[in-house]
Amino acid sequence: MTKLRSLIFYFILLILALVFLFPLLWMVVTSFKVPGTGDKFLYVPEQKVAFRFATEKEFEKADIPLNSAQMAKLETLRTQLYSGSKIPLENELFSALEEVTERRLSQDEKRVLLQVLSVRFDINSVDIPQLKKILGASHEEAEAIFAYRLTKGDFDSPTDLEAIPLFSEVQFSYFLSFFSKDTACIHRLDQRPYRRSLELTGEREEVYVQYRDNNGFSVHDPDEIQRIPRFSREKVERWKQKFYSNRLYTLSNYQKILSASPRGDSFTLSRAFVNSTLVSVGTALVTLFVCLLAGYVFAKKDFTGKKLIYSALWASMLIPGMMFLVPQYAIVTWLDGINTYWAMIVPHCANIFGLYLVKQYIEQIPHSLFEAATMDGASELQIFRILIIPLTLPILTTLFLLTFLGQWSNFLWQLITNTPDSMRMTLPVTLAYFKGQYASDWTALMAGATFMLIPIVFLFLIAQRTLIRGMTEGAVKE
Amino acid sequence: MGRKDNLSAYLFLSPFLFVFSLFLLIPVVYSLYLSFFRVGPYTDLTNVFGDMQFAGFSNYILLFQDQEFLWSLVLTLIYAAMTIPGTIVVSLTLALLLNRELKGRALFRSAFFLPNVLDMLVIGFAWQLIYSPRFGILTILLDRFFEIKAFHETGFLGNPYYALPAIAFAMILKGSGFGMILFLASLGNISKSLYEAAEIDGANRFEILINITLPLLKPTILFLVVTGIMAALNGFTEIYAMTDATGGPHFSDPTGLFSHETLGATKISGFYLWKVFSFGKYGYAAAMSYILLLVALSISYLNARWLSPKELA
Repeated sequence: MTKLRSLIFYFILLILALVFLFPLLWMVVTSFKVPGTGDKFLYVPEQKVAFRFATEKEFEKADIPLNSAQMAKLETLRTQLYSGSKIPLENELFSALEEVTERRLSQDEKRVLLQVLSVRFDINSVDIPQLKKILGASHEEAEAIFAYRLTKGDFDSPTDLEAIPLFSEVQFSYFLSFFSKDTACIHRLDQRPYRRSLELTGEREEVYVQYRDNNGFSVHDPDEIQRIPRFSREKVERWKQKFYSNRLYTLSNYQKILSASPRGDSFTLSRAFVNSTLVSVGTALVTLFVCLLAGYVFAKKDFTGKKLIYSALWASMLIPGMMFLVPQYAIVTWLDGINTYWAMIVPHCANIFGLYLVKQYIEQIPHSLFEAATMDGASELQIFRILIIPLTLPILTTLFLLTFLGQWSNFLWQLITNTPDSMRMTLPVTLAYFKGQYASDWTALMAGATFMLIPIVFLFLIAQRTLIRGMTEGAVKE
Repeated sequence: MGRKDNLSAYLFLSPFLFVFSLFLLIPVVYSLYLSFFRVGPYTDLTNVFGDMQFAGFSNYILLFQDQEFLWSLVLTLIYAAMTIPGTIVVSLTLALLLNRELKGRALFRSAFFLPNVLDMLVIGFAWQLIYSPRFGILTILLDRFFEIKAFHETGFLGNPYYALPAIAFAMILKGSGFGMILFLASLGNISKSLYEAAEIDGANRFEILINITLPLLKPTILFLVVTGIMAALNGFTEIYAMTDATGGPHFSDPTGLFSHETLGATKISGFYLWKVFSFGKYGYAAAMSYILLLVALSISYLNARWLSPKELA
């Protein structure tokens, strides 16, 4: 009974933990998906655009009138785009059209174009005229597809098409091409390591290689493997799974986002990473310096106005940070600090919470130690070097980490102290600019986001206890 | 060390005080000064504050006639009313769940706490992806399991009535880890004998929670309320990230109190302040900061009456 109860308890905790970590996990998963599938939950066949067959009339319907010369030019571009078994991406088609019309298409125009020209190649729902017009099927073929749907239900996979008679080899691969998307990963399947992983070894491999050499193909789609003799059904299924998972996940987003620039010059995310590191480490170091000095004074020295200054510092904690936006910006502008590192670093260094942490810690150091040091004739500087810094090292580490994390994630201040052409933009600001540019390219954006979180998660994993101690200190003081 | 040591004390203090006065003390005063001036949006960008015109109280008067500002205050209140109780309930629940002998306790604690240290902007983007229409995972799950199709076209953040609650939900999940840590720390300080005494008196678990645990957690709860109010007033990055810097979908005011035709569904005061700021209306933004400051101070004053004064000095 108790065992069952603890099991249920763990189950609840696990679900809760998953919910809490879900945004992070989903972000990482998305960052590995093939571009264009980022907002997709499962693999769904792409919506294809019927550019290949679109006529002047249809372009007119989309409010993009083309004259006959332009149509001819478009025709050659289209032939190039559709050469081979490759299906062009939407963006390639749009840029072809942009090249022809010699202007940029607006987002709205693209949307209308997609509506007018796009055909959802769901083979389970198109009717006979559409099949004939869009897929270029003959009447018999279209009827055969219909008959299949009537008798056997929906097509569940491209392989089902094989069950339909009357298909020529060319026709078949043409149909299949609507199911395949990324030729690069198909060619990868033909490489040795993949064959190994599919247990395509020994005699089977010989047969495979022979077949491939005789028929002059490298596998263009998962179904082609079926035509190789001696393959069990499970083998084919496994091959196909590999095929589809290869199509869904990739590392290319990271390559793309790390080398791309949000504004088309030499500024990249890698540069932003350097900026972020400089700003965060700089802020942390300067904060340590000023807080250590001030904390020592407040903990161990008595001077005129101590109470007044301390309560003034505390009172400033009650002011919401947004309030400083305008005047701080004014002061930084006045000091000519826009697009500089110091403008991002210095304003955050008077960290009152940090001062409080250091002061609390130094207060715990016994007076006798200081007295002994002074008796031995140590100067203030020596006291710092041999006494305070070594003894306060734990709290300094905590403060360093807290400041670093805070600055790494600081967005608003770094957004307003950088102009759009700045070379000093930090990661969050750069990412926000990327967001504006790659509005719907979620995979690349999430790759950038994951890249940005790596240091935070790393620090969290190695220094969790220190962080938690620092954050709870002062919050609950009994 | 009874004697005063002004010279070296102020020498050591000077770096801190310099930064403090330049970027925290002077701004408070300068902001007040600015709020009496009109700084036009067409000001020379290299000398932004060069041609200010004295405007008297007109910024403040305009502010109280500005429907968008009043609306942003209402929204901030709604936002706070969602996030603060939400965070307290969730974090207290988590703390109570974890406050026992448990294998893997540290692991779960880390899992709940991790979102708290993650970057706000990035988490905002991730939630925008989750909430997105058509292929957003939440939309699909709701559609598939509960046949809810209301979010298919707009997603959560595109729907004026759900945008702010959706953001609040994301922020509750992000912020609860911190509250949990605080609650765990205070729960650890409660002496076992109290519970034992209550059990001998025959109190059940619920009675113990209401009569013993909660009163002892009051300081932590109040602390979370204060920080929650600050977070609501400072709320900017989450709105920026999740609404593409637009302030959310527009909708006609449901109460009829505001004459403005369309109002941003997530334009809380922190975000509106930035909007005004980014239009270059610095004087107006400064006046707005001051109103927000007064709001914050009066709330802090109310809180200080409950919080022990020890904590402030």
